[in-house]
Formats: sequence, structure tokens, C-alpha cells
Amino acid sequence: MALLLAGGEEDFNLTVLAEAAQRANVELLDLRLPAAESPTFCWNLEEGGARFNAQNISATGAFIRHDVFGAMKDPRPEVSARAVAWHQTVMGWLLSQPRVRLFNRQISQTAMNKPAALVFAREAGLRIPPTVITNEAGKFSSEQIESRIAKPVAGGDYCYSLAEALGKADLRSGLAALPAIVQKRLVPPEVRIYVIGQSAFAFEVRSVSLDYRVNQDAELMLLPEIPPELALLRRLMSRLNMDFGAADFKTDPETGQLVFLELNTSPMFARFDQASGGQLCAAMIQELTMA
Amino acid sequence: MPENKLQATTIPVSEGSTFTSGEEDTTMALGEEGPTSPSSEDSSVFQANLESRHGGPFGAY
Repeated sequence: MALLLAGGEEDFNLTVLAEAAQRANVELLDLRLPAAESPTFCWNLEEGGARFNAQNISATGAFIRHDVFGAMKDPRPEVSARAVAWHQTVMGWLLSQPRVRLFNRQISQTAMNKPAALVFAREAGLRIPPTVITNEAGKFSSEQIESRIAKPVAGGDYCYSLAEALGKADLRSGLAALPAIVQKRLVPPEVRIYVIGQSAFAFEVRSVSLDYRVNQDAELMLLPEIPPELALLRRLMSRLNMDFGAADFKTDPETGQLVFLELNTSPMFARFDQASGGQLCAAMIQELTMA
Repeated sequence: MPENKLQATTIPVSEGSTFTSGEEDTTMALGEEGPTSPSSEDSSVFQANLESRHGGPFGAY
């Protein structure tokens, strides 16, 4: 029983997962990629096997993350291209090996699309915020500007108040260059629920910021009980063919109920694992190595 | 829980964030899936997004 670990050598999420594997006495096949050198790799499709540093790749389970850290240290396009190519290569091998346990192996394309995932979440029974996806930035009323937020439709940037987002926008004839997701502004508490196969963990994320990622000022607390939204989240994830992910919720100021924001298909987990006393990574290892 | 409060040299909480890693201030490139991301948070997408996001979520021409 060996667990293949692939991604960037400096990815601290992989570091904590490797440490958890070690604690569980799980054999590790370490395919993490250093920044400045490449291992030898050859995958002969006619023969079927792949070699990494002269070692035949063989694993019963695998966890892979795209290396996002190399490109942050070194923004040259070559660094990003290298990360993409290695990710595609190792993921390609993993996808071709159906017996290797891999999270989200059959994930739906819908899971990667925020607007579509919101619609599916509502259809699964989860509450979602009143949402408009639009570039008609000149049409908002003053009440809407006061009470809404905006975030990029493709992700990769922060959530802003609508007023701030409009202040940044470059409008031509009242139309923005990009459509954005515009939603009712929600309030704390903010909750993140991790689903790891049969296991689930919920955390309260406390921050004074609209988007806690901006100032990294969040405090995390493992909740003793998982909110009842878990059942609906599992329904959504089942439809999306997902067995691993983290869903973010905030609270409707009028009803006090949790409202679904988004489902991350490859979430970071190191800090949450720390806040849970290692339970997150232990569950991941267990799921990936169970017979 | 003060021990869970993010410190300057500790790891970021989540995706798409600015963080301090070791001694280097870096931009966290863990935005959620982007258009060229096959299955995960994609640095190249996130950085492209940041570079092109001078107009915020509504972008710029």
C-alpha cells in the first residue's frame, strides 16, 4: 500500500499530508517537484508503466496538487509552464490508472464553474444568495450598491463590496469589460465544511474582513457539530461526482441561516488541519489508503 | 483560540490570498479553478487574473 504524493515541493499542504502519512505508517511515493531541478521521468504508453527517478510508479492511492508556489516565487512563464506540464503528466498517469484511489476522479465539469455550481447547489436544496451575473455595471441602484458584493466569475481574486468593485471598474457606455458575480452581502459567522469521503469537518472562520483572504486575519475554530447543511452539500457533491472538497458558507443577516457561497474542488487545508489537531489530513490519508 | 490566529510566517488559510511565506512576501496563487485549470487551484490562472484585474471583478478593457 503506497500513497503517491505529487505537486510542488514547497506546497505546505503536501508537507502536512506527507507528515500525516508518516504518522500513519503509510508508504509514500514522493513525486513532489523541486524548484530548480527535474527528476527523470518516462511513461511509455505501449508498455503502460511509468518511471520516476528510475523507480517504477506504483501506488494504491494518490493525492496531487498543481504547484502554485514556484510561480509565485519566480513569475517567469517558464516556471508556470513547468508546473502545468508536470501536473498534466502525473495527473494523466493517475487518470489512466482507475485502480489508484484518487479524490474527485470523475469530477463534473460543472464543479469548476462558479455560476453553474451555484445553480446546482440551489437545486440540491442549499440556500444561495440572491445572485446576478452581469457586466451591466451602470444599472445598479444605490440600494444595490450599498447592499451587494462583487467577485470574479472565474475566481482568482477577492470579493469586494459592489461600491468598491464599481470604483475599480473600467466602464464603457455603462458596460464593464467582464461579467462578475454580484450577490447580496452576507455576514458572519462564516463556515467552511470539508467533505473527505465519508468524513466531514466544519470550521468557523472568524474575520472582520469582507474577504478574510485579503488580510489573512482569520481565526479558525473546529466546530463540535457539523451544520445540517452537510446533507445537502453531500447531495450536491454526489451530483458533481466529488468526494473531496470544501464548501464556504456565510450567514443571511435577515434569517440567520447559513447560505452557500461556493465549493472548492482542490482546497487548501494545511491551516485547517492544524486547527483540527491533524484530523483533516488523517481522514484524507485514511480515505486514500483504505482497501 | 489565539494559537490559531494567522501569524506572518505561517501558512495561509485559504485560496486566492496574499500571504507571507517564510521571509518572502508573496501573492498567494490559490484562487479557485480558472479557465485553464484542469482540476485545481491554478497559479497561472490566478496570476493572469491578478495581472488583468486592474479593473477588479468587472475587469478592464
